[in-house]
Amino acid sequence: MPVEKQKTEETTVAIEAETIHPDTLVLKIAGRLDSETTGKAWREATGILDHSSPARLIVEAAEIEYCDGSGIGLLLELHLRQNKTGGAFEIRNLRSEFQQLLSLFNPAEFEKPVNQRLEHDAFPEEVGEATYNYLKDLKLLVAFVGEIVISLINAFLNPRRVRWKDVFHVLETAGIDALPVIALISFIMGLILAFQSAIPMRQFGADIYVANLVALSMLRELGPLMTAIVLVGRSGSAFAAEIGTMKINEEIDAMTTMGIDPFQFLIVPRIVAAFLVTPLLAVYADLIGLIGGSIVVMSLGFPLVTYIQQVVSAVTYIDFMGGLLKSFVFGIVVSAMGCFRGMQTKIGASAVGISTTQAVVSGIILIVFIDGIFSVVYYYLGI
Amino acid sequence: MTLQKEPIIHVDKLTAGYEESVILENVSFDVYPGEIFIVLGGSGCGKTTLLKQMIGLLKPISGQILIAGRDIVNAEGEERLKVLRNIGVMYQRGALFGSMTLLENIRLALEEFTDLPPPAMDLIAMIKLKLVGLNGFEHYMPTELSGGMQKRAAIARAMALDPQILFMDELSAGLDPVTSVELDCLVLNLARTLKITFVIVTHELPSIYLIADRVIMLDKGAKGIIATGRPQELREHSENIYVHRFFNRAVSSRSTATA
Ligand SMILES: Nc1ncnc2c1ncn2[C@@H]1O[C@H](COP(=O)(O)OP(=O)(O)OP(=O)(O)O)[C@@H](O)[C@H]1O
Ligand SMILES: [Mg+2]
Repeated sequence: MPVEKQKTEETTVAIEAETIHPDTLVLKIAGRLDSETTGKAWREATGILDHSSPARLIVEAAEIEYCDGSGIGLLLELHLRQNKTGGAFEIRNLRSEFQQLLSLFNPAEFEKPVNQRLEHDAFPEEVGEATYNYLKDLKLLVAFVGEIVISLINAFLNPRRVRWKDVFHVLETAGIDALPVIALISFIMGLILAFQSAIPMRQFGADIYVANLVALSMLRELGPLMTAIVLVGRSGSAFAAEIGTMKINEEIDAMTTMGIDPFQFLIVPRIVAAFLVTPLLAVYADLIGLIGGSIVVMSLGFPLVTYIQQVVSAVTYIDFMGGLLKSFVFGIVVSAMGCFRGMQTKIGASAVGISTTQAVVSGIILIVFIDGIFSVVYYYLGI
Repeated sequence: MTLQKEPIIHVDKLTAGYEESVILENVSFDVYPGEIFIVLGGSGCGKTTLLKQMIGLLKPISGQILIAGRDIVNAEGEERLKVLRNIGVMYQRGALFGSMTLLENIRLALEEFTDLPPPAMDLIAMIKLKLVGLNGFEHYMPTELSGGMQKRAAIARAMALDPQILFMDELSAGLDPVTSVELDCLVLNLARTLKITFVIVTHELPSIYLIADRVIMLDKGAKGIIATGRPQELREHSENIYVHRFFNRAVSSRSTATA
């Protein structure tokens, strides 16, 4: 059947190699070189060249019926291989229309590897570069902190310049909207703490001290810490995404040329709001955590009054204020980190995703780090 | 018509680029008050880069830029604000503030820089929207508008403070021919009546012939200006082949369009 025959012709290509002279290789290519067949032809032809590197390669192309971009790619590849080994290259009898297509490409332009950026550098070089980038990042961060401090002082001196509408908006999204999540986490936290400690403490007949444990760890450590982590995940990432998107859309540029300071306009309201709302959220988390603990203690058979009395006797104002002070710092750090990563956003669609991730990751690292510093300082202060 | 006055924008031996690369080298030109000055050139040759230098968003590697006699490169604080108050910018992609309505977008500059009572600000903002044919869309969010409408809104915002100089990146890219001609007329009108100076990046040849007082053409290879002059002059006698081809394609495409 003619149709059948045409079909087989359409999808085949044949390569024959012939050494006509000790150092001259003739590659005879026949058939169609298109995206379907070129793969096979490519492997065959380069396989032949891998074994023998002829001083002279002639491609006999008279029987190439069709040759599209991929075919041209193969011919170029053969040419490049010969260039690399210093051999000569020649194409004979290529049809003029294909010849025209081929002549659009100068092999010299393709000699470099296509994507240099993906190439891996030597290990020491990578370490050096990473260190350099890290230090550069740190320098930018220090400059950013400086600008924030100046902006906050300005805001403090002229409170009327602060965009309170935006502050209230952030208070709502970062604060009020976070209440359910924080309630859930702290409640379960209190429950788990009490439950886990009740079993061993019971063996010593010390079950009532579960209340002390829950109260101290919630107020001093877990309340502020969990609040900060929720804040990073919800608001730090949102700040980075919002500001990053504005950066990409040139909105930040537009603001700058309108004479509006993006720091004053975008960053100060967010930081002020976070500064105000984080301690409140932390107190809320403390309270809900204690409620969680109370459920376990009551199920151990103690009345609620006993639990409350125990809690009140266990914690001092200093414990409470210590936790509160931490959450002020956490609030500033989380919001500043979100804004910093947002402002750092580079060009491109994936850039916002990267900044958001970085905001969360560096936010969490900083929080844990700062928490550690607080513990040491509190220890030496005897708090 | 080149008005032989003091230039309102003076760019002297500007070299500009990004961390890895120099995009423009030793570029000098002047723009005179009331002029419609057009920047031409292929994609990626540095038109936006040049514009961002002129509005002080990027610091040059070397060279000087004076806007109305003030050095925008080194201006700080109050001095810088004075320069910025006198310019309006329309960005290539509009750059409207996505979290505000059109009216709020335009009001913002008025809120920051004037002590007008709020109703006056609203009225002025509505006037600007009317000027670009967007009356009735005051309470739309930018994402609820088509691309061309966003562009017109961006022009309205650039004009919020009635600046002396308007910079426009890709004025008519992505607009239909009718809107594009309307915008051209708007530009002409503003230039003639309010004596606003325009620096415009565009590729639309009919538009160039209609509005341009003077043109500069940038080139990626040359990293600078390859032609400067009135469009008609450049069409008739330009030495550079690329410039010649550009302007004469204009003629041929125009004649085929009218034929
Ligand atoms: N933020 C940036 N960082 C590094 N290089 C950049 C940046 N922005 C632009 N470039 C480079 O500068 C060159 C000029 O870019 P520019 O945006 O000025 O071009 P353009 O003339 O405005 O082009 P178009 O007509 O496409 O808008 C390009 O080669 C581009 O890769
Ligand atoms: Mg551009």
